[in-house]
Amino acid sequence: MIEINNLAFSFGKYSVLENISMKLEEGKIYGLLGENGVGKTTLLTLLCGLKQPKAGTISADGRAPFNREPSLLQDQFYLPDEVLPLAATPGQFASERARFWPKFSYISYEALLREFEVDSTQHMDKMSAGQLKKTWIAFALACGARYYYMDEPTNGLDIPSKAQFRKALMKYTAEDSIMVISTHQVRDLESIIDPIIILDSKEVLVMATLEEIAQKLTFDYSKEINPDALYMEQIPGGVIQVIPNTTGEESKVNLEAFFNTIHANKDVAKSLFNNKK
Amino acid sequence: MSETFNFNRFWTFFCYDLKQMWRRNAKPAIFIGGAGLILLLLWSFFSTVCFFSWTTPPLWARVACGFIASFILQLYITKTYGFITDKKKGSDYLMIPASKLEKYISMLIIVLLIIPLLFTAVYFSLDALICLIFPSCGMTLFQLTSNAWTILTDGLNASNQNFINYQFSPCGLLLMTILTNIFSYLFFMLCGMIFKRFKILWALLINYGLGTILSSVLIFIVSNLVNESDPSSIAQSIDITFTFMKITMAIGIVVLAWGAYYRLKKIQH
Repeated sequence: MIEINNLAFSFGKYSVLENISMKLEEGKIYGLLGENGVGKTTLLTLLCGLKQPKAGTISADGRAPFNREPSLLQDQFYLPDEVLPLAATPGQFASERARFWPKFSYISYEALLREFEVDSTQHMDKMSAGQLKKTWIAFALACGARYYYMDEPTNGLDIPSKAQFRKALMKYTAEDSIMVISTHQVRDLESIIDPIIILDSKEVLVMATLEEIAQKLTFDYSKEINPDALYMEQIPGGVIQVIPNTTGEESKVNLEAFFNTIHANKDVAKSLFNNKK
Repeated sequence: MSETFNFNRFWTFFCYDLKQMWRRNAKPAIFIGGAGLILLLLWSFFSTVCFFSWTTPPLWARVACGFIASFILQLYITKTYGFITDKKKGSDYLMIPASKLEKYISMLIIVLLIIPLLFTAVYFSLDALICLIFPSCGMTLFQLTSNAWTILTDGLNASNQNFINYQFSPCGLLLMTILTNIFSYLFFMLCGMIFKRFKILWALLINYGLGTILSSVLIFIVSNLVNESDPSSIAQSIDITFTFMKITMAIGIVVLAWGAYYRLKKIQH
């Protein structure tokens, strides 16, 4: 379990995160959502130990990430938004690095490269952005880590690759792993991320499972306009409306609409999902 | 398994680090080491164009070129681990599962041993090859080094005996050379690890500033020690100056080494 207590971080005088507290549990894929600049990447880099909290603590099963202890580093993988184009083939890349992650599986790595249709003879610095990203994702998932922090993993991936990424994520990660994925592409990942964390100006606005969201909000796709709608958007063939769930009937959560609802009704969001940090 | 230092993990990391270093720095390092060849080409070209006679660089020119190349190498040291200030490369390096101490020791071995040795080996071997092909070059640097103690001692014996003391003994000079080199390599490495941009420029400016302060202190010490009516005070002041420089270098090395470790420990991306 990852425990975050009263976490704060700032760049000089500019505060990015304040008083963040939450618990991240095993076996869950957390979707970290938020507008540009709210601190999603900062939170991920704090979780993996690339940044030191200005206040508060982070504990990954009792270990502080910023100490960068080898036992924790070999148990985690941070995949940044922009990955390094190394002058090596995927095979050379793995043979040089895999030994640092004791649970690394060459079988999984090769299978992932095949599934992602990565040309394993090509040097990574000569690959397209999508191929490079897929090589890194394949390596990350083959590491068999317990904690994964991924920043915009679907950026640069083509449509089939996004589907392959979702499948790979479900197939190659251990059941007890904790995954935090920051993304703007909610549609790419809405079938796999649960719970959802929405960051907004220094704080966690919402942290809720899809079930909790469905219990509290109704996603209505009918053409009839509801005056109680918290959010409404024209979509091809009709309208999507997000309204408070008063009937208890659960509907399919549309994450993009949910995010926009929260963004437009922050106070309502806080009252609906209160104490879920 | 220890979180601070484990030999197997260190060895794995060191091999990995060495490979990455080779990949990143082999070409520039070999180019700097090959300065002797560049000197030969330039010397031959200009002697032919300016004096209409093809000549080869003499020993003094090759030694001077070696010093210049060695200085350029020191400047280049800012680049070797300078990548850790880069967000992508630095993050990648910091996330490799090895302890800070293991990364630090690997860094020191590469910067203080492998790079200087590789440079010396390339420069000296190329010099020997040039001298073999062009005997007019005279003594090779290998021969010069092997004769160094004799030349040094002979030279000192021929001079005023009053000036011969420990500081000018081969051992004293060797110690001074080693301390100066370690100081310089650590200094340029640390500057590379601290400054995100204009690493070499910042390193040179700070080096100039430190040099000015140290020179001022030395001039102050010497001017207070030398008594013109007492010739022995000159030898004494030289002795004190050298001792002061060695102590300063030793303290500087400790401070720089600690600084590099602290930077590695605290760097954030």
